[in-house]
Amino acid sequence: MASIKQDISLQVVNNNFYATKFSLLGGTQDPSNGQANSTIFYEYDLTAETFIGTVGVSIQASTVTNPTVFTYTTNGDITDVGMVLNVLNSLNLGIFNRVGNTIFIIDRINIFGNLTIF
Amino acid sequence: MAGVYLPSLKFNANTWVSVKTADLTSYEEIQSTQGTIVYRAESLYLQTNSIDQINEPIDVQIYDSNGKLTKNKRVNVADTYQFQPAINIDLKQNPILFNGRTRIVLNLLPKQSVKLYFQTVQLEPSDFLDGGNNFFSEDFLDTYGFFEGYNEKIQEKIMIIEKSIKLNS
Repeated sequence: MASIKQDISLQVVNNNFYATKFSLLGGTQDPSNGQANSTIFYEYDLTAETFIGTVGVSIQASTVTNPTVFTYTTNGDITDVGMVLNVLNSLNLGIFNRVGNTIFIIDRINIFGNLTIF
Repeated sequence: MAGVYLPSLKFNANTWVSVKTADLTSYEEIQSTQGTIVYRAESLYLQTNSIDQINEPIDVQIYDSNGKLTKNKRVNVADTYQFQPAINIDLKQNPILFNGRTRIVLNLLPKQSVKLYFQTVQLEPSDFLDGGNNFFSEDFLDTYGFFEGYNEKIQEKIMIIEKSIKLNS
């Protein structure tokens, strides 16, 4: 059995004014693969949300190769923005980030639509 | 209160987070080989432009066969005595296997840059065939006759040149 020594050298630069969670080397099958070198930034301002009686979150998403829009839904008591972030990250659509009451994601492969808190 | 929130989109022609390699193999090329080539990272040299950034965690997340993230381990732990923005992390005891089901997650602070230099051992499926490293020459060259008879042709040329030298001398 042969094995070859090989180096992987990467330079990652955050051109964003926000701290950003970012994944690397997951391969093309990784749902967050579209983060690297993305020129598009999706931002959801949840300042107006009161979280009274909210029991779920859904988000619309499609991809550049498949424009059919799917709605991804998750249920459970939603009481604050942190919970919205956690449930969005459990959907395996990429890594969502939070700054105050704003949730954002950088992606060039997935296309995100409306975020519904119900 | 239930609400529907529309995304506001921002565009940055220079990319929001840029990822480049230091050699001729592009990051996209490395990404597309994940899975077909397995990289076993034995060390990581990490260089940042601030102490705050170097103390940010690096998580290794692993997907299970159902596509769910099941394992999460941290390869560096914040060190209060870290005073240089560079660190060499030895992974030999616990190597990271980049096999298409593993990803690393960085928390990039605003306007920061991070250089990651993994020393890896690369394994390909052909390495497991009889012949190992010689698979290319033994299988491909013989099967397709690439360079077949090349030696003889060179020898003939040399003979002709030698003869012409002798005749002229």
